[in-house]
Amino acid sequence: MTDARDSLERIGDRVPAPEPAFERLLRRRERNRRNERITSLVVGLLVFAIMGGAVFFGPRVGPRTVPGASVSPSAPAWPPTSQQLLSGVDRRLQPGPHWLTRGDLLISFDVPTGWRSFGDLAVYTGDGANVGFWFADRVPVDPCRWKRSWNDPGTSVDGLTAALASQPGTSASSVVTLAGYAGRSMRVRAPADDSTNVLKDCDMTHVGTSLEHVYVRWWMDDSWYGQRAGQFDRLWIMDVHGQRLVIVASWFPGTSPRARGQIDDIVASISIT
Amino acid sequence: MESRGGDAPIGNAMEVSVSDLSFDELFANEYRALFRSLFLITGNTQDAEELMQDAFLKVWERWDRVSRMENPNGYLFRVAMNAARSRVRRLRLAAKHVVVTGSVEDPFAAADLRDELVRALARLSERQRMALVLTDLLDLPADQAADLLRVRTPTIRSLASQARAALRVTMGADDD
Repeated sequence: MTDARDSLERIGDRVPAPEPAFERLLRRRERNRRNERITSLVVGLLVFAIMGGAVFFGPRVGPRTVPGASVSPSAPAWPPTSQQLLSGVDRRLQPGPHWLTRGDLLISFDVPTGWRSFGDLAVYTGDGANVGFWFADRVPVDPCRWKRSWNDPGTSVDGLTAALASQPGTSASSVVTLAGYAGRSMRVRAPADDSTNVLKDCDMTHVGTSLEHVYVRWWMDDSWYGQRAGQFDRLWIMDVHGQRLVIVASWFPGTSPRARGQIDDIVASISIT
Repeated sequence: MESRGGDAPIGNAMEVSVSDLSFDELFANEYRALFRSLFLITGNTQDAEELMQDAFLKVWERWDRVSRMENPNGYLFRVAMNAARSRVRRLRLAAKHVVVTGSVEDPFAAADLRDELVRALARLSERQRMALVLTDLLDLPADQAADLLRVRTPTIRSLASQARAALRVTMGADDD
């Protein structure tokens, strides 16, 4: 036990606590308080603005459409409760409408029973079904050796589609309309074989609590979207009011048919304003 | 370091007289040890500082009540370890099927990954590291460590034993 203790102390002593520690604690407390005040203010203003908008501009409230696009699903009743607005907190979701924001976009969709939120990035089930919402600004040339070099996908739908199409495991893309917005769709599959080590030569990073080999498809700021072995993805790359949104639905061979069907239901219910 | 009863103290300030303790003193006495413990568990200085600050802020909010406890420092570490445990559970759940992260920083990079010992610690699971920190660094009895991690006592012994063995192999040390 002494050896272990010595080892722990030896490692821990090399990384002193950030100083000045108490001043940093005070700043954190002040930041928390300020955020609470801002949240209260924003929620109040939002409710006020929405109620005012409903009175004066009632018929205009709802999803916008673009020329050539089909009508999007009706946006659910606004405003959401705090439980319906996805945030940085991971939690089990109540079935029904939920919202998240990405850039200037307000995205809503219906969540079935049994789904959870992954921060404000995605919703998912315990058996591998996932629907996520991303901006992609960097695309690794090789999803396996993803730390080495990247393609610049520009800002257009076609630019990102081309950058992803140059990666292995991607299908040809097709023109689609989703939620009333035009874009392109493609399928993406991570390598799979009978072993679990198919990605063993890929770059590693810290995933959750462990170091893992991962297959990274794109980046959004300092977050990356990756796949595990055998994962299937369907992407919709949309131009929504000049912002390039990637909607990704993913599943594994072991994902239940029920969850697969629920993915389709969620995607069909997406409304973007 | 010894522990007493079901609400045993953890940390450096066991000998501090509770009745005289102010929050400032508790902070000054404990923050280094708490940060070190949390860094050894998370492998990440930012996460360790965030968990440490969260724990201190919770204690501060309840200081009227906490200051009357026999062992405020024990309560502090309990809050921090609960938060660390919740973080592990949340990360594991989230990482189960969705591969996303906010950072590509390798764990324990701040402690120099060129060191074999650091790499050995990084290879342990976070649960193993937590068991090791609780039992070996903070000297918590296995049953209390198990209570904190919400696992059975044999599980905590097993986790700590696996962790010790892995470190021993790395250090080439004899079993004690």
